[in-house]
Amino acid sequence: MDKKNARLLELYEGSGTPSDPGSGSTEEAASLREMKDWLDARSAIRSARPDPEAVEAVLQAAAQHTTLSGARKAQPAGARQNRPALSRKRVVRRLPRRIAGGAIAAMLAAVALIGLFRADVFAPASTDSEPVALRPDASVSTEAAPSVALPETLSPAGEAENRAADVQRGDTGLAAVSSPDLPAASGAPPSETAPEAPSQTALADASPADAAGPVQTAAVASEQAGDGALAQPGFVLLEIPAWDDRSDVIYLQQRIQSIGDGVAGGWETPAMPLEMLPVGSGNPGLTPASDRR
Amino acid sequence: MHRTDEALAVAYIEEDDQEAFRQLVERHQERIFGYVMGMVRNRDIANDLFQETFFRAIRAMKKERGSYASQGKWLAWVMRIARNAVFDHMRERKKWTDVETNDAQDGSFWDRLPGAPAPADKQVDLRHRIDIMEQCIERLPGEQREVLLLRHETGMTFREIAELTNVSINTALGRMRYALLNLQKMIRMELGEEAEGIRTT
Repeated sequence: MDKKNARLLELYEGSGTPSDPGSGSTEEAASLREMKDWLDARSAIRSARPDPEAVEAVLQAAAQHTTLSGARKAQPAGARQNRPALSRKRVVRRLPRRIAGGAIAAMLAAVALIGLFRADVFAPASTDSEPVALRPDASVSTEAAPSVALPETLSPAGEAENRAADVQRGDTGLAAVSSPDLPAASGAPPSETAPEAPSQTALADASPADAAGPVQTAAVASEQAGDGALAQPGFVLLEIPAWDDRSDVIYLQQRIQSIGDGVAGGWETPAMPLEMLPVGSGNPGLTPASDRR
Repeated sequence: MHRTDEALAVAYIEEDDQEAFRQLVERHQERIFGYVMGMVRNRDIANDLFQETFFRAIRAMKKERGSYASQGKWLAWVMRIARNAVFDHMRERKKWTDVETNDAQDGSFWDRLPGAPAPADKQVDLRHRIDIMEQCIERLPGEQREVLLLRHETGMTFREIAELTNVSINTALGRMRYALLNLQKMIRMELGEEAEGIRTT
């Protein structure tokens, strides 16, 4: 610490290092002591008291804050500050809204529960992709199609015969099964499902194709469903064929092939270059982009 | 039974003891007001700032704004609030000094007339000197005046003053030393001019 500062500290607090008795320092020390005495005398004489009104205002403010803090402490712990209590009128006004809200919530919960229950009931039927569950002869439906037994092509007439034979035997495929519980459980009469009554010979001819029953089941059944077999009350649509239903896919492929064979191949009109196609004003050829309006 | 400032403050904060707060105010009102008065040199403003200081202190003690951590230095804490209030006022005044005011010169026109007759009584002479000294204190640089007032009005130690004003203790002591030396020069000058004025009249 600076000597001069130490001297001042000693003068005021009596804790500084003793000053050197030099002439300059003595003169300054005297000056400092003189001023300190003057200031002490000033403090003794001069009373610097605030106005009583100011003091009273301070004490009133302190009391007011005490009252406020006391009221705050009296509030319950969960109560929010500056929030008035709800009036009875407001509570009554809100009651119908609360009841309606509760009813809607209860209805939604009931609907959700019913939905869950129904999903549980129908889940096995909707997720089971095995055609075996839907066919009367389930044992053969999962087997691979015996390609050797299939004719190379099926004529539309033979196809119709096969269809009729299937319907007669009740072997309508995977999509439709007869339901014994229903009133029309006896199934549709053959005359309704087959447009023409097949002869015995036709049925006999169709027997080799019928041996490949699993191959044809899906498509035939779907066609039957489209023709109205499923519209009969005795049939219930239970399942859509899955992608791994190989027999159905093979049958579809063969059917497409047979249809394609029946139709003349190629386009109806000869191929024409794109530039020759008529456009807009009738002039053949392509119109440059810059000429378009 | 003499209770410390800290005990009184705790009694007011925790038990809402009004009497404790009254004792605190009465115990320190002269110190706080003396400092404020010495800084602003206007009694009305000093009263306002005195109230403002305690309003802020009450809010802080009741945890509404700011906080009061009991460290056994209640007066130093309140003096910091008072100092902030004074500085806020000075900033405001600096902002709005479009018109010159005579706030700094208290007293009537007759009081400020030069060449007043020398008082015969010694006590009156001392008062006269003190009046001169007040004027000289007012003319001191702000930092020196603040340290002088804090030391002589509030009785704070130089270490506390240094903490309050955010300077080192050497700086605080240096400011005090210069304040005393400058004050002496100014008083001598005033008294010398006064004596010369008396001689010429």
